[in-house]
Amino acid sequence: MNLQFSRDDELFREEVRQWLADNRPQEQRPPVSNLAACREYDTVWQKTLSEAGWAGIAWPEAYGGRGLSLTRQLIWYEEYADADVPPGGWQSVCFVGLAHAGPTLMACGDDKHKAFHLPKILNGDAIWCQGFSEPGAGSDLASLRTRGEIDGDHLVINGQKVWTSYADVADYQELLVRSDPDAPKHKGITWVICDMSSPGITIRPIRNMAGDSEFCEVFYDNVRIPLSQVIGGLNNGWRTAMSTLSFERGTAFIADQVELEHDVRKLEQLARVIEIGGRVAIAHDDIAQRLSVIKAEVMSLKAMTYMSVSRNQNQDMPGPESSIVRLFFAKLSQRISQFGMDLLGSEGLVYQGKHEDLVRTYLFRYADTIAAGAEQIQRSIIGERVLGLPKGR
Amino acid sequence: MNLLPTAEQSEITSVIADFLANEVPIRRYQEQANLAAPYPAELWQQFVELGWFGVSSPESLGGSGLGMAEEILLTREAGRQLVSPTVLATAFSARLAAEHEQDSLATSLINGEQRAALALRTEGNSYLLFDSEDAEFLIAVDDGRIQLFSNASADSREQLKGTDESLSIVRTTLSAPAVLETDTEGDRLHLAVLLCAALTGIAESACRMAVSYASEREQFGQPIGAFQAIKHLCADMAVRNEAAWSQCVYAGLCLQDKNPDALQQIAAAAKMAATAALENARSNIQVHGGVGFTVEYDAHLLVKRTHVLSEFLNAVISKRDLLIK
Repeated sequence: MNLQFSRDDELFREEVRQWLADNRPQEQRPPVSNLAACREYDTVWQKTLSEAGWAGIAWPEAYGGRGLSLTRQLIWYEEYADADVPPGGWQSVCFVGLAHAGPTLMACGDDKHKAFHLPKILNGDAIWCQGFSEPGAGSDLASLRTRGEIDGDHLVINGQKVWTSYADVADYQELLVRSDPDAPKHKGITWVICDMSSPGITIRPIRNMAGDSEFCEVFYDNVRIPLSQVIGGLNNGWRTAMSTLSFERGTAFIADQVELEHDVRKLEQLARVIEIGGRVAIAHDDIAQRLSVIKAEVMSLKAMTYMSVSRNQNQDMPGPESSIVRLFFAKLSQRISQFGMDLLGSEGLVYQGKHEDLVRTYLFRYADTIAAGAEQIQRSIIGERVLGLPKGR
Repeated sequence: MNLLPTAEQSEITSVIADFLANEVPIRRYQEQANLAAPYPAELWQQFVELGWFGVSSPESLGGSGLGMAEEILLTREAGRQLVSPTVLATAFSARLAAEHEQDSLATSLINGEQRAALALRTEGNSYLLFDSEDAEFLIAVDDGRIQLFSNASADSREQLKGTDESLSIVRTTLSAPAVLETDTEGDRLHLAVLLCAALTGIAESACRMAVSYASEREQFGQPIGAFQAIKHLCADMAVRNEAAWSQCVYAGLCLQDKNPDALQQIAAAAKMAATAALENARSNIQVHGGVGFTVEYDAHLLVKRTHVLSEFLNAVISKRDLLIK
């Protein structure tokens, strides 16, 4: 056990810090209400990162990455969160490509797909979205019903997907379809690359409770996709998808975990200046008490992140333990944003101006215990796959 | 950076875990009439032979010269089996004596000739002593100061009935000057880290006990662990364990590395460990249902020991330390 970063790691940290300070974009990211502008902004920034060698730090060199350790990736995220740069992690339109589709193609794709797609994902030329959930297939993803019927050398897609972030600005979609309706539900699914410009696709943005519309419903009406776009084999899509979901519960959220620590620092500063009943908030015992607990918890989140980096640096795929960190993160992020709301008091009722971001964060955090596996699903994964408890009937 | 134990550290831990499971398992409390009997000399000698009391003390004094990692790994194992706090107190006192160049004192604790027990100050110079019968010394914490007293100097001993019946409790006053006294922050924080490790052990023990019971006990025709209501209680226990242990390791290593935010990190570890131990011990009783409420199962002992160790931890460090800028 040791907490010390190597001399080379520290030099790397210096290099990252300096580069971010020298190269951060001068303009703010456009509001999420203008998704096309967000895409433009995020992809320009992604290209800048990529050209400087900061995209795909832990991706293998063969796929255009740097082939560096997970520890270096962690250092990048830590410095990124501390720098005044555009939001990272899931907030970028590049997230699905970088965190889901890219790793899945690496794990299950053939050379042709890797060579075509991976460089575009890294340099921001192609934006990906995810077509997994359906109105009738949320936590029970394997019961999905969007059909993919074989017609010659094509799959013909009919059905509907939902919660597809950035669908209306994406170029490609990682799409799960029911290709064999007669097989057991996990065995009849295919993972296929869907070109979002294909005829027959209709997209309807959905406004979330924070008022933003980055996720959408996607409808498919006889959308034809060449069979050559199937990844991981026909009817083998569940296994292909699971490699992606494991990533989602593993390293993909390190950036968010690190940024949460940053949020708490800002709230502590706010608690020292904002007044409640004529006194600064932190002078109130209950506020001080809650802040101290939140600080303890966010420090633990960092320690847990370090623990999972330690655990994962020598294995290709994160284990079920990553659900523990995900669940802890989700519950904590909600307590933190609730604390922010309580500091604002009546000012939290105003959704514009100085505190708009705090209110948006509060509203958005409701998704944290639902997206990427609802907290109840995470608990069942922990119970069955980490603790070894029996499955229910 | 790597928070996992090395192969060698894992090996040491598994030897220690086997020893404790064989010699002082929690189950022992079911088999002895007097729960709070002090450890007999032969048993104490086995701890000595494992090098328990000199893990982090210099080899010149008979110690092993190992680090924080080994200390917390061992202490967590001791926490799991509810080992007497006198073991923790003696190991800590030996290290303290060595740090303060009281070599002969350190040696006598490391080689098992003498023992130290925990003393919790209640008010003034009044103290509660835990498992102190065979101890020559008492280690007490008072407002950031750590003091080592001679047990012989304690007067007006009153044997009390303890909430934790697996420990003997004596109320006494300590008016004689301490044998060793320090207000070095590092010493205080070191004790806090060990208490965190012990509490983390209790939290993990509770989770294991609950999972094992939930896998065997059947109701409505299936093991109760198959029901989400029970499974999710256990999952929350696992989450608390991961948070408390990760933070304990992180904080302990911060202290070892003389990291400037060690105080805050350890205050965070204390909060997480104390919460994990009590919440898990409570959930464990809930998973057991009626039998968990009886003394015929071990679940209640985890709750009671948690209160004892948490009181010590509160005396050593407080949540307020988290808000110091």
